[in-house]
Amino acid sequence: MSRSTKKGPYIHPSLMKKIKALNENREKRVIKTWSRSSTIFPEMVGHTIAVHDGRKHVPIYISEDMVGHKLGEFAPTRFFRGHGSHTERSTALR
Amino acid sequence: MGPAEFKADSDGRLWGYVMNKENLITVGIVTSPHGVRGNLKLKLLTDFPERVYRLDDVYLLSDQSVTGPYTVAQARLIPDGALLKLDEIDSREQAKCLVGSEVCVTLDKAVTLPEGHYFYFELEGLEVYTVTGERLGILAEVLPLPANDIYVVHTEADGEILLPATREVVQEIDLEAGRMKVNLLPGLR
Repeated sequence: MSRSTKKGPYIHPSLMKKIKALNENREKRVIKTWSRSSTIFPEMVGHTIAVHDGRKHVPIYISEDMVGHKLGEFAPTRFFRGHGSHTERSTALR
Repeated sequence: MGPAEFKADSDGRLWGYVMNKENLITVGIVTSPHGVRGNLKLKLLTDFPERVYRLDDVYLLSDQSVTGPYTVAQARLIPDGALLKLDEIDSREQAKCLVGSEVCVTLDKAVTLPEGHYFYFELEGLEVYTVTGERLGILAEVLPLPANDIYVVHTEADGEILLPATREVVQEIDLEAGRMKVNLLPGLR
């Protein structure tokens, strides 16, 4: 059953408080959170939030298209380490 | 960059211990034989699946030994990988023996990446420094995550540091010097 629209999306109150404080002070700092079920709010865009994956905090840069999703969606709890040799997998900066 | 060191057998086919494995780049891994004519089913290990249509000569790497070059007769994409037909492999039995082998090409035949893109193996091993000149450690691994890639840096002082692959954090990548300069935001360490 989906969450009642009357309540609005869930976010851990202390996380929202920290985000608001960063925005008011125009500060850039990584916020650590264990709250994987918190919804990504527009206020978070541009910040980096380190989301706990059960072992460590994974730094996630929040962009516009992530709004409305949950933080936990971007920090997988299981990870296939893959391959030891040189492969054609590539990376780029966001 | 010199060629990989192989021995040639009486048929002229190259094989042997790869003294310089760094000259090869893996495109896929053989998961099973397909059909009765020696087709190979591959799990692709490339970000560019369409490149299988441009494969001509490939090497097969297994347990540090390499055979090749094999000539690609036919290649096509399937939903969960690719099918490859090599001229030299004609039967299902031969194909079955190759399960688990990596299909490689030489580095000069690797896909050309757009500006600002790097292969994982190019970044792994880079020395990571902060903008203030402090040496953090060595980039050990690149983790592909849904939001942004993560660079895992092994440090002596702080153990493992995870850096988001964003322009805000990674300021400069100098492959020739083997260095990466990062802006370590408060809270990342």
